[in-house]
Order: sequence, then structure tokens, then C-alpha cells
Amino acid sequence: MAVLDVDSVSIRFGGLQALSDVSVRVQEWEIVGLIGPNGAGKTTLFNCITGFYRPNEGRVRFLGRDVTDVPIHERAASGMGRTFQQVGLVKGATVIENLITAQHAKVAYDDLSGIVGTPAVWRHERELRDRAMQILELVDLADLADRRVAGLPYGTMKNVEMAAVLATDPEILMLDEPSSGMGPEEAHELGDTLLRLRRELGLTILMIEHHVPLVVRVCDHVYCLNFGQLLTEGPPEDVRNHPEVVTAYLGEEAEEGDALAPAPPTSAPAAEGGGGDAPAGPGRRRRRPLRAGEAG
Amino acid sequence: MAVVEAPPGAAGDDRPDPERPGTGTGAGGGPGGGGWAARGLAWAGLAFVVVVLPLLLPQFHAFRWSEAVILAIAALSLNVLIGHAGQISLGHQGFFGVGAFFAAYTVTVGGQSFWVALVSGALTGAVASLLMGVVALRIKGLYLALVTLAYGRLAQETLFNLPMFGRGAGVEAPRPDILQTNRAFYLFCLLMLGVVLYLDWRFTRSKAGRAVSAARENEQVASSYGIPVARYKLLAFVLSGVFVGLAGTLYAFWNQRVASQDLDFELALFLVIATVVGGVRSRIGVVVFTTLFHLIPDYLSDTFGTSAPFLSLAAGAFLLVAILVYAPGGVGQIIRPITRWMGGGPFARGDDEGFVEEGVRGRP
Repeated sequence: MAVLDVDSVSIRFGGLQALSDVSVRVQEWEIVGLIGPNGAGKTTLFNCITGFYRPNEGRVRFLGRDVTDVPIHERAASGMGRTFQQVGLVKGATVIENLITAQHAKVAYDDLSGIVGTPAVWRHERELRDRAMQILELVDLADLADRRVAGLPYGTMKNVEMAAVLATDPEILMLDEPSSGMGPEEAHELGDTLLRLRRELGLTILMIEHHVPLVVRVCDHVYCLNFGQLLTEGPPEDVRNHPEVVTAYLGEEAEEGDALAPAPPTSAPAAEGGGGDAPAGPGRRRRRPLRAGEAG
Repeated sequence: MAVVEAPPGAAGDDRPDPERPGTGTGAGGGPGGGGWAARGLAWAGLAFVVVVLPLLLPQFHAFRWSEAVILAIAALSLNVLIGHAGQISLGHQGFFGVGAFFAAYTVTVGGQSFWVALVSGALTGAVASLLMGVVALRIKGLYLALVTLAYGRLAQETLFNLPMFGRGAGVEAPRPDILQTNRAFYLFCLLMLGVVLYLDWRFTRSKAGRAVSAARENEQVASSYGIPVARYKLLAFVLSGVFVGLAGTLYAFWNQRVASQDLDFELALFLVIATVVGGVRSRIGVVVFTTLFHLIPDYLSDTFGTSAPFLSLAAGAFLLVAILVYAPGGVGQIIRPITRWMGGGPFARGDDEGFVEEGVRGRP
């Protein structure tokens, strides 16, 4: 059974078809990458999966249950953990307070006894704190426990955010560009962390990521989106070398020899024959005959 | 979730206290014997001024101080909304009045005891506030402020002039025998303030308070932590309503009568100033400032023989600006070294950046 099964999801915003007929399946224990150029609809897909958007068509199934009409917090409580592109943390609180807050759905007492303060509440509060501390130790952030989030560097915040999502005790970890703001070495460490999390916690991971070496290293399967449509899917090496993926990322300038992939055969040099200037893009090529016509 | 061994140095504490670590207490936690003696003396002095002194002075002082304590409870109620939930109410005199009128009605017309009235006042305050909470789920910011403002005025002009509430003449609210004297009533108000302070403290240190706080700062993050945001907004309104309903009830029995002209917009404005200048999210700051802000003008006008209620509001506006510029954490931030010291910590500012940053977290 797939942990996550996105079945032909489409969503429109006014006249913009943000996603059309996108299907994604994530199996247990898999690390799945979601790539695509800016504006391809990756985060929109995340929002459809987690409930921030309601798709116009298609269904989202999570752990075999149709969650398309389930509110965000219930999906989160049932094991969907996600991070945000712009760090999603309660920034005025400390690191450990964030991790304790994130355990909300697991808290064993009700609101009223919390406010009255029964002995059981005190005991549970201690457990929540211990568990938060354990998670911080797991991701090497224990020494930052009492630091206020707002004062931390961006890359650290990203790590804290992941720890906070781990505190929600997720079945699937959905990461939106976890390596943004990180250097190559930090990104490599992040890869180690992700592999370790899967091994130690049995997590399933779906991540939006631009850092190609990271994707190739950790992902079992990759989906590539472009203009709201699924361009291709498959093992990372295949997707990376897929001609349409290369075109989607680099435009037709790919023929200028990028190390990413062998240049796809195109007829571009023929079109360029008449002009003298080298960096002629598709737009400029189309405009030039028009000007020539006006002049003549 | 498995119970695990506490990580060293992390969970040895009896309760979560974000202020303790990193403050540099120095001598391995806790002051020496001399320090405790000085603190004991300070606590004794405080207890003397707050509890014993009003019993020694003429009755009329206890009467005056009772009102200050009642207003402090109402300000704590507003602190739940403004501070914890990030909502605004400019019509808090409305909820205050709902509690006051229903409590008085319960005793005078309903023939019930004071204790029943105490519960009915708090509950009706909660219901009125819950209704406003439902509105607040739809309307935000400035528009919510305007709606609450209109609600407060409307309550004063219509609801509190209903035939059942004496058509503007008000309702009698005789005190029970045991609280007949002003001194006894003052002590009871103090007790209620203690209860409200305790509940507010437990609220912020438990599941519900954390959920409300997270929803205030970032609804998206809160909901992806599994928090039903709308539910906790409503819960904040209910808690605030219980507190202000209780304050209103005490007010009715303090005055032994409640009438609509006592519940004008000035009261709502007083409470907003008291909460913000006192220090949002700082319980002690709110209580200290509210009581002083109420008592000082009273005693000043005794001395100088003038009575100008607008003066205290003008001073309030001035203080509001001063606080925004110099101490965003309000009085709670200013007296922080004292409250820390009395709690056994060092006489130091400590972690102040929390006040300055967006997330103000004054926690006495």
C-alpha cells in the first residue's frame, strides 16, 4: 500500500491551470524527490496534499484513507508532517517550545485539565519536554534548545523546522526545499541526516529539492513537474538525463554545452545562421525579422 | 510515546521554565541564605501592603482597592485576547457588563445565592465572548476592532437598558453576609485575582496556551502542527470571557448595584491601556500597572481636591506612546529584574530580546 497516493489532481486559480492531472505515489520507506523549474507547481502540489488547497479534481489518499476533504490539522495529526519554503516555525518561541507545541496532537490531557493543572498534566508536560529533547539530540540541536528561533541563522532554522516536524511524529516527512540557504557541505550533511532518519525512524520522505547532487544521492524515485504537468518520473539518474527535463530547466540554451546532460539534438543552429550575435535567444530571433520588415 | 530517561541537564527541572537556563545564575542555582532572607523580607513586605494594610486603614480604602483588583482581573482577561491570542477587543466593557448584570439579576430577581451568581456571571461573560469569537473567525484586525467597539456601545445602550435590567435604573446586587464589610470583600477579590492568575499561568504553560500562541504567530504553522486553529481562537475568547465575566460579577457586588452608565467606553479604553502599558503577556506587569493606574489618580484627587477622570486617560495615552518607544514589554519588562529576583533568580534583565522582537513573551 502506498503511504501517499495523489490521484490525478488538478487545480485552477482563476485562469491559471496550476496543476493538471498530476499523479504521485510514495511507497513506504521511499525517499521521493519532486523537481521542476520555478513556478512548476511543486509547492502547490504540497499544499493540495496537506490540505491548504482543495483541488478542483482528483483525490489525495494517505495511508489508504481518502483525505481530500479532511482539514489541515487532522491530516497533520494523522501523520503528515511538512516544512515550508519560508521557514515554518513559531519564531517568537524558543526551539524547544516549538518542539513541545508540535506534539500537540499527541498530548494526552484535555484543555480544561491543562488549565486547571491536575497532577497528570505536570507529568505529561515533563514527558513532552523529554521527548522534544530526544529529538533535538537526534538532529544535533540539543545545545540550541533554549534559544529563541528568531535569532538563529537561516540554515539552522531549516534544521529546527525539520526537528519540529519530527516532533509531530509523522508517517511521511514532506520537505519543501530543505537545502535552501545551505552550502554544498551542509547539503551533504542534510543528505546524511535524511538517510539516517529513514533508517532509524522508518520515515517515508517526499521532498521538493533543487540541489541535484542531493536528489541523485538520496532519492529512490523522482517526479519532475513543469507548467503544472508531470513531465516525467523514474529513478533519479534517468530523470536527470531526460531530454525534456533538461530543456525545462535550461531552455533551449542547453545546446551551449552544459555539464548536466548531453545536449539534445535541436535545430537551433540552423535558425541562428542569419544572425551575427551569439547569445540569440528564442524571443530575439522571432523579433528580428519583424524589424527588418518595418525597415524595408 | 515511551517514557525515557531524562537527558542530563535538560529535564531535571520540576516544570518547564524557559527563563531559567542561560541566565547565568552563577552559583549552581539559587541564592545563599542571606539572599533568601532578603527575598523573604520582600515577600513579607508585599504581603503586608497588599493584604494587611487595607485591613488596618479605614474601610473606605479597602473599598477603593477592591475596584482596582477587579479592574486588574478584567485587564488580565483582555491580556488573554490581546496578548495570547493576538485578537483585539475595544468593547470589553460589554462583556464586563454582561457578567455584572446577569450576576445581579441572578441574585435580585432569580433569588439565588451569591455563589450561584458568581458562576452565572462568569458563564454569561463566556457565552457573550464566545459569540464575539465566532465573529472574530471571519473578521480581522481593524474591522474586528470596530465590531467590538460597536458591540460595547450597543450593549450599553440597549442590552443594559432592557426592562429585566431595570430600564437604565440598574439592578441591585446585595452582598452575602460573609462579604458584607468592604474589608472582607476586598480579601475575596484578592482571592479571585489569585485564582485568575493561577489559571492564566497554567493556561500559558499547557497545551491550550501553546496552541493559542502558535496560532497567533502563524496559523499555517500551527495547523501543520496538528492544531485546530479556529477551535483555539474560540477557546481564548471563552477563557477571556470567564475572566471578564467574573470581574463584572465582582464589580456588581462591590458597588451593590450595576447600571448601564457605569459601563461606558471609558472602561474599555482603560482596560486596553492597562493591558498594553502593563505589558502584553506579562501577568504581573498587567496587575501592577492596572492597580496603580487606578489608585494613583484617586489618591491624587484626594490630595489636590480635584476630580478629572479624563486626566488619567490623557496620562494613559502618553504612557502608551512612551511604552511603545522605550519598553515594548511594558511595565512587566521594566520591573522584570524585581520579579526575577523575588522568584529566586538574579537581579538582572535576562532575556529581554523577546520583548523587542515581534514575539513578545513576558513571563513573570
